[in-house]
Amino acid sequence: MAYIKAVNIKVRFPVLRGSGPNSYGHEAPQGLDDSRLIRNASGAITGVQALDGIGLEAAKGDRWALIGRNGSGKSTFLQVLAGLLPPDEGVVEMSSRPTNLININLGMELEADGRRNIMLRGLAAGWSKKEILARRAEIEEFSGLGPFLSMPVGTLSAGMRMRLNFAIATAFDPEILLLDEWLSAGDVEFQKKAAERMDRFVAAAGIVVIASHGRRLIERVCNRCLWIDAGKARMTGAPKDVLDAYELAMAEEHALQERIAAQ
Amino acid sequence: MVHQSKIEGNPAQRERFVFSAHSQFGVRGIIGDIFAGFRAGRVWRAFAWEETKRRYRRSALGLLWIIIGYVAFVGAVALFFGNFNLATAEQIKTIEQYATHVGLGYAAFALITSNIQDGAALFTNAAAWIKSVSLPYSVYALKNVTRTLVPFGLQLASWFAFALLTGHVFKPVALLTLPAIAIIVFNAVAMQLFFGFLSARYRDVEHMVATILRVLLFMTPILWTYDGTSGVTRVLADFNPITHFVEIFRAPLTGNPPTAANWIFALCSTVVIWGAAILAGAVLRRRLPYLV
Repeated sequence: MAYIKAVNIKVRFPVLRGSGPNSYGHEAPQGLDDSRLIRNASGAITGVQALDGIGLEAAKGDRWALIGRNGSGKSTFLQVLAGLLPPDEGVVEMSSRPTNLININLGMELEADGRRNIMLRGLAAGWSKKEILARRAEIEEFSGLGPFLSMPVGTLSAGMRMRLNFAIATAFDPEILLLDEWLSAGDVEFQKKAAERMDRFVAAAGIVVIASHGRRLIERVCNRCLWIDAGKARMTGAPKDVLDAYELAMAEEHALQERIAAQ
Repeated sequence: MVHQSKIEGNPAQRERFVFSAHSQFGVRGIIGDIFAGFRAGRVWRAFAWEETKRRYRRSALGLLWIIIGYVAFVGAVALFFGNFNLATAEQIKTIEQYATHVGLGYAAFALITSNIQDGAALFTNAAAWIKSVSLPYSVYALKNVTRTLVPFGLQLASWFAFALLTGHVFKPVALLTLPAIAIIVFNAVAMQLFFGFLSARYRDVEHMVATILRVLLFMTPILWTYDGTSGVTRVLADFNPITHFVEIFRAPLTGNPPTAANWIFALCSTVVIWGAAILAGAVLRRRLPYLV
């Protein structure tokens, strides 16, 4: 039975001191909320509190949307769920190995062709050669790349790479799928195919966690929504309610800023 | 699989995956990572081959360049340094013997140092994969070690061809070279991990390593022979672990059993190198995704 249980996740990004652009010293980078900076005894910045006690529980068939402004911690949270970043505190427990599509440009051998990348990514995700070969035709078909599959992946457009990545990741019917917002960057035809694939996924009672700004995508796919603000959970609920509250808050903030600017 | 531990749950359930702040600390974390890495053999084998192909993609001669470069180097060294060594070294009587000395010594030296050099760029090169796929980090080290075996194998094959053509006599003691290769490869994994973790945190390591390796070529008895020297050169060679690894590999093939001192030094170095690798991994592994 598929499930995710993430409790009280805290992540601090270390800020390495030493030479180079990483040494901010005592000054907070402009626009960064000072409450999220971690300082040592002498006041120098040593880290950023990216996630501050966030959690999520998903049972079979749950499709969570993560929303929040840029830098709020959506992608960091996804990376923790995917096992890419170790949490400083808290525990993530899940029923099976998650499949993630967090960064579209990563995890490809750019000079190898599409078919070879299907094999490499499949192996890296823990599938056997036989399993990958059995799914290859389906992946090739779904990607819609046709003759482009025999070209180096580095020569493909960003959209084509995304289609290939998505086709590989979803072909093996993962129980748990973690997606970052770039999914909404596809063209209309791809969005339709992706949505159909999501429906198949939902019918199989898999779990999806998707970080997105796209209201249409969220309302179509998701049944739960988590609003992350400055690394903390701000609101949880049905997508429509949370999105409404989020958009209202953003509009109010924008209005406030305009008033300050006008003064 | 940065920090994942599989735990046995209800047998009706499949394996559960737990990522937590406590499941990946310290020595247990890095040792678990290494074992998990070894089990993922098909992943690092596929990636090693992919990288080998990438290096020679769209090159007309491809892997043949490894053989050409090797033969040219050994030939040139034999031509320019041969007579000098024939005059000073006791055990080398012919230019063929000197070419064997250089050829085998250089192949082993290149295998060891390429693992140090690649190790220093290990995790920075693998950053894209580390940030997108959850694999044990040791997979990247094993991939690199496997890849360095390709040039080594081709160089060794070139030397065998040379040995057969020149009527080289193999004695049974030659078989002792096999455990020597095994121990060099075993150490290569640790060197990759040690320099990989260290240079992920301290970016000067990669440049430092390049500087030292250039000097080490002259501190190892490859161009010159150990018994042909004395004094400071000899002492420096004695304290250079690469000398002993090269010697245990090369001596059996030239018909001389390696000395016990060579083997003891090599085995002690193995303990130190693996200890350093596990220590570096225990301290730095958890922070690796932030460092690369």
